[in-house]
Amino acid sequence: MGTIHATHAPASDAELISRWLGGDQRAAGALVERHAPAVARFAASLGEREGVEELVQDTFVRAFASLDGFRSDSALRTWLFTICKRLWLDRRRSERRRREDVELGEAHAATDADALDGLVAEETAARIRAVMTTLSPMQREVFALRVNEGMAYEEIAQVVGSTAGSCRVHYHNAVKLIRERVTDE
Amino acid sequence: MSECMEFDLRDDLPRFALDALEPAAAETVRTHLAGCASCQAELALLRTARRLAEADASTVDVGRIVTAVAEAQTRGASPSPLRLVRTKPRWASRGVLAAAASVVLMVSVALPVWRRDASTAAADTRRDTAVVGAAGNAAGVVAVPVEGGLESLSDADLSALLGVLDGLEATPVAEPTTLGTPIVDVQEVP
Repeated sequence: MGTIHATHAPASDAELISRWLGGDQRAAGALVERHAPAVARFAASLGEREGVEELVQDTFVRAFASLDGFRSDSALRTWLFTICKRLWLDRRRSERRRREDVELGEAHAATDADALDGLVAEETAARIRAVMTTLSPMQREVFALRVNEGMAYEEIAQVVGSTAGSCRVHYHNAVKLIRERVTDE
Repeated sequence: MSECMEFDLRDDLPRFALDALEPAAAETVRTHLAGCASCQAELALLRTARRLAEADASTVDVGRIVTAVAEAQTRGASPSPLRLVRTKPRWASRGVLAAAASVVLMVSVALPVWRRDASTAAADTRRDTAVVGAAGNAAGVVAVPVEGGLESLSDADLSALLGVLDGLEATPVAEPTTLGTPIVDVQEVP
């Protein structure tokens, strides 16, 4: 007689959303735990620094407020990135002052490099970090979504509001620039 | 080191670095990497960039976010509990209040009555007083000075004006001349 083994595959996003809409609060926690690190990486790639956690939290609060209207024809994570970016832009506008993520100038790069010492003790990493700040915002976002999240160009296009072909060009330009500038420094 | 022109293969490097490629595609990349120093360098760069991004995000306390989101859901609140997006409601600005007052004036009271005395001093020295009565009730008349226009009103005066205008009927029943109390009375500044 065979033995039946119960398998506990992780619930899909769609299943968790369905459970949450049915009143299961734990499903919301599971969704946050699953996607918060990626949203945080994306927020950081936008140039956000001290406010990453707040921005991520805001993203989820906003997402859950309208989750019943979420169309599952796109990935939940892509949708979260889109919300995150909108909130970040809104925040920048409302603050009405230039932020370091826009300028991303030498002073900021130096600060990052200093802070980096305790995190990544590699000279090359520090150089990559500094060079990343010299990319255009579009190049930086596309590069981050491709490299950190492994997203397809079509998905990236949804987040950054462009086309897949354009995103591919931005990605390869970003890689080329980083490689050139890291070598130059 | 010359740049590798195998762009399709280079497109796969990020997902290869994340171990997210299908086995067959991963094997293709592995074979290419064995003979391509440029792509080896690129892969190392991508892995380092990814590690940096993880370091950036490492300060985020996911448990705290879970708690905050749950609390926000309990409250049924859609705005951020941390109020980071906007510290002051957009409607609270004087300009918006002034614009709102202008719209309410136009819509609720039809056309504002503007009496200009051509023989007197310049308009900017004139003191205008809007005398607004709630549905023609003389006992409820409120006067709000609008010297210099709506932009010059204080927040309190604008709020008072909006409050009074809210009490008006949406559609005027007749031309101003038929009202018991003039909507806008123009007085000279002494």
